[in-house]
Amino acid sequence: MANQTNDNAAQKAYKQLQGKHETQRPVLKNCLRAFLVGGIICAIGQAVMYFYIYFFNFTEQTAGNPTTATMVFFALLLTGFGVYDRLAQFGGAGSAVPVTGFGNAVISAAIEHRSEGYVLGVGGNIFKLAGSVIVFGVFSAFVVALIKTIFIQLGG
Amino acid sequence: MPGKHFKAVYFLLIQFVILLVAAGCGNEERMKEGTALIQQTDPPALDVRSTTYQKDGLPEKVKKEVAGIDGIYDVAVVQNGKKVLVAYKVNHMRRFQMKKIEKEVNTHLKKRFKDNEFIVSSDYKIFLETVRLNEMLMDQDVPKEKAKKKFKDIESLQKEMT
Repeated sequence: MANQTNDNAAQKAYKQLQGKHETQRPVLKNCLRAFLVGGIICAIGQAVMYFYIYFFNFTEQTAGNPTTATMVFFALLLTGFGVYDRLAQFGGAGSAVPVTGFGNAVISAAIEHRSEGYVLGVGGNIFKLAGSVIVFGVFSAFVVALIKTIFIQLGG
Repeated sequence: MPGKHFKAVYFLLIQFVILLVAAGCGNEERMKEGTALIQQTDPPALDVRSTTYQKDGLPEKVKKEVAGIDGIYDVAVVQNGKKVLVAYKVNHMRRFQMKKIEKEVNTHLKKRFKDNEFIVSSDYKIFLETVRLNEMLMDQDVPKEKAKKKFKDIESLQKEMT
């Protein structure tokens, strides 16, 4: 019993010591960088969307799908060339939150496991990181659709 | 080696500047349609059948009514018989209330002009196509059938969305 209390006190003391020597995270700087990088990515996305509206037969509602696909494709190219990693180092969440972060998660997993073969390596690992996002998206869409259907059936 | 990269970047920059200058020297009529998505265009309200602008015509009256509604800042109107196409842009901060504004425009127009049928939209694509049709009509030498076909195309585009 006495041993346990001694351990706890040592742990507490160690935590305090760690907190003293820990380098402070530059939260405000990180936020600003994320805002800048995320904003630039979204501005490019908006330009791509206007491109589809202007030159093709897409309305504001339908132009979102090809825009998403194009942005993911851009992210794939940039990841392949090694540019997106540097952007992510600088921008942090600003590069991970937009849909380009999803593209980056897919292709980086594919590149990492390329040496293990196309089927078991690339095929088996390509959705290792992004798979949970897809499953979460599909499942939450299913739940929301279910709730809406129940409401409509009840006459809401 | 860095010199080579610098040359390539320099070459790209010059190309970009030439492209910008060429775009700036373009036809002014085209520029209006070209910047319709990002700038206020305020095109004159026209009728597919008459093609000449009438200051006190129905399309112009409709335009004034719609432009007077709170939150709307750029209106394009084209009439084809009883059907009137109304496309507008909503202020950025009011875009969360798009549905409410569309409802307001619809009820307002139906109350004010009982004999007409209105195709109302705040979609950028519909606005852009309406401005394009408007410019087509301003060119005068465009056959009426072509303008009517374009009107129908926009109508079907709007129906696709709903």
